[in-house]
Amino acid sequence: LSLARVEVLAGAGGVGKTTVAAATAVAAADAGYRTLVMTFDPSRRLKDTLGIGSEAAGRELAVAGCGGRLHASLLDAQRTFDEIVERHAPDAAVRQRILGNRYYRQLAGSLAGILEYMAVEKLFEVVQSESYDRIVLDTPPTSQALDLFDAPQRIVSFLDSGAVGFATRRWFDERGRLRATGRLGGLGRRVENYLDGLVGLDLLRDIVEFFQAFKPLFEGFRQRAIEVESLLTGPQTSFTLVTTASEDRIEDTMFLARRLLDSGMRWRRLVVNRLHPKPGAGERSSSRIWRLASAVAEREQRALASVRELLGPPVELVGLPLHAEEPTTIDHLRRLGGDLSSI
Amino acid sequence: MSDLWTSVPSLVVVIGKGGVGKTLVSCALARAAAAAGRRVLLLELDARESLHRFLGCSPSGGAVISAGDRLWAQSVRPRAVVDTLIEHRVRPRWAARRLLASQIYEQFVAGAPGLREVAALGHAVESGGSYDLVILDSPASGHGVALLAAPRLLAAAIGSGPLAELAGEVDAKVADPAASRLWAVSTVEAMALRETLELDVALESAIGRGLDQLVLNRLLPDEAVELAGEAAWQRLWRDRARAQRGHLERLGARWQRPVVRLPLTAAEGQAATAELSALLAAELSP
Repeated sequence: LSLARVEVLAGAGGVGKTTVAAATAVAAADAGYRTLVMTFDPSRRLKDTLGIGSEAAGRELAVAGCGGRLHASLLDAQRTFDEIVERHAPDAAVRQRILGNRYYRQLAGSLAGILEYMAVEKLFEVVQSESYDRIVLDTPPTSQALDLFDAPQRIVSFLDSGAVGFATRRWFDERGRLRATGRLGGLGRRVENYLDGLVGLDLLRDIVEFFQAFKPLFEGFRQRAIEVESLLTGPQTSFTLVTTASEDRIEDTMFLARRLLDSGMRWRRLVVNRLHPKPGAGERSSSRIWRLASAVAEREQRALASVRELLGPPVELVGLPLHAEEPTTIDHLRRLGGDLSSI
Repeated sequence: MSDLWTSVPSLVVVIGKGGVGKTLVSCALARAAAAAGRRVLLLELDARESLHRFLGCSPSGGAVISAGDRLWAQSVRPRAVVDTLIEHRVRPRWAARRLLASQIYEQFVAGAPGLREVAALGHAVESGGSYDLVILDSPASGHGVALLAAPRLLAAAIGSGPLAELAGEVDAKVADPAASRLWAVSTVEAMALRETLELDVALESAIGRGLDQLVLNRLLPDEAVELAGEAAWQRLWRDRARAQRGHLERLGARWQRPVVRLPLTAAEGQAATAELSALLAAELSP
């Protein structure tokens, strides 16, 4: 199984991406590589399988049964953000101002994809540390994964846009009153009350406060975002897309693939997961089930054939058979990893 | 058996994890209700549209489009809903225009927690005035809990004003079992079922009510349990059917609320919708 230093697995929800990531990582560890598998909020089943729990949130834990070569980590975006603030804030006062800000604590989650960016930032940090030969990153389902890959670019354009300067103007006076409306006397109060009623002025105060506190960190952020972007598009990173052989999943996957290629990322492997075996012509022991099993397998083969036509040589196509139950042990993952490399 | 065919409630929210066939089930339910005589609006939240694949209509692009007799479909654009809300409720008009054009508003719409969810649910609730039944196919990413708990959280965060009012109205609707129905779709597999039961518990604590209806999707035929032969496909179908039977038995002890079982179908797109909607109609008709 040939893996890039950083192997990113992406795909739609419910295609078994996390399981394939774990199996890939076990195979890499068995091949002698010091391997780290990083995953977003995995199902409890995978945590059980790898024998790790929530204590792996934000840090790397050794997975038993892989000769000490496999580590796993659950990505925790908020914690990564906190660590960056801790590390890069110029002084304790700025640090406290950011960490204590209510907007930061509750609302920054969806701010311009910043949490997605945090995940990529964490990946960058791990790559820099040189502790691993192979890093397998399991990403969230398609739409969020796109946010993830776009994140560095979006952070840079957000920081370069006027929005930050606008938000960091002095909107409020020392008493927390809107400066603009304060000059207008009684009318200003009415405007302020009105705005307060519309969106809640406390929220606006928190947003402005957040941007002002964060300002000293912007330049560092911008620099790292550019480096992270070059990691994702660079030669040591490659993408494996995971799908099932159904028409709509494949359509989602191809959409994702186009976006990856447009962004200059390297796509090298497509794993088609959960394939049904095709019944033989002489095995009609129960004709109703035989017909259903044949129709399901044929539908998948048609989807597979259409995918094969779309793929050029740089993309390797790997089919994985469906199993009766989801993998629950390292040995199950090992067998799945064997299937991955044998095709 | 179901009052969806006759009167209240006017809103059904369909939730479940990715890859369980939630969109197909939503389309089949919408088709069945429309066939039973109700005027139905089916909404989806993902910007990457998929309803049209199962309904045989063109993509919505944000507009309400006809998808057959008494059936309409729409892809909800939460941002557009919030903009419309500001336009309608903020006076004077120039203030609304200024607000919509400001960058702080951009940040607010992108950054306020749950605003997009509230806007989408708000749109579903408000559409209830023009249709007999509104069905919302929730996004595959994330959990239904985040969607359904958003109104309560946002109302608490903002306090007063038109957005808080809307959030309060929406919360009252989704938290009231008489006003809305919560359907969960699951496949009969260990992880999917466990997550569905966890979803029920999480909903209870977030909005004070759980699921009303469980749809078990892609069931294998019962007789597959007895399938003879040792070919790869025979072993797989037999093993899966046996695992499924075990899961169903364990589920029966934990779940007393209504369940609909839908079979694995080899059909795709509109044909799959037609097949499952006929089965749903037979199960749910009074």
